[in-house]
Amino acid sequence: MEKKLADDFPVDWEEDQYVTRREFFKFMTLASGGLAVGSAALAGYAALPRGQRHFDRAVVAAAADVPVAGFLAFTYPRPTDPCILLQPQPGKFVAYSRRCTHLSCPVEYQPDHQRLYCPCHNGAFSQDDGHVLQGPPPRALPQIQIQIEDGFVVATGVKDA
Amino acid sequence: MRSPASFRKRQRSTVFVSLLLFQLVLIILQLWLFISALEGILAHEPGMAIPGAIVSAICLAANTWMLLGLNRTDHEH
Repeated sequence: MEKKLADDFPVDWEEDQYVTRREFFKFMTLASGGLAVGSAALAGYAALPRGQRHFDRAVVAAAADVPVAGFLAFTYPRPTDPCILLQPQPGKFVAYSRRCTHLSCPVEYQPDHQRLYCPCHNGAFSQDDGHVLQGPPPRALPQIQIQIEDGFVVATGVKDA
Repeated sequence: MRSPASFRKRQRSTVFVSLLLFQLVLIILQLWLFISALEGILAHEPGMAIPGAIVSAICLAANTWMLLGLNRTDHEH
């Protein structure tokens, strides 16, 4: 029986599975090529311009509806993207994404401290340009590009930090 | 007493193992660069990606050069 098996399958199992050092070297070189291609793909992705994204224009609110030193919540560009429109000084409007860049908790406006505050982990952002003032957020809040047209605040795009 | 051919064979074997270890070091470096670039991109800090890709390409060139050298040595012997 064993002889017949050996005749039918003449290649020894261990010998069949044996990988020589040179084969291993070739395989590792192939793996090296794969990693190099992957790194090149990441570099290409990183080089894509994505600082500013343009979306459809959307009327946010009448400028008169935003209280001075107050805020108005809205969504842009999608209905699921919460944003906040501020008027820190009369006639000066700024808008930001309302998602904290740490863990996406909604930030709230604190005009007394001139900041946007995240109550989840004590993160805070500047009301002027959204940069991080304190806490764990790793980057500034994305800024919503706005224009004032005929007394209305119009959102035109999103500028990432 | 060993023959000169035997010594040469052992020497080639040692050189081969050294090259293999060096290649492993280069691949671990490439893996580390890849993971670092990926983490950087996910953290919106892509500055590591392009230098990492350049160094990774240099490692690939070194590995390919070693493989070609080994093939050439095999053909010579």
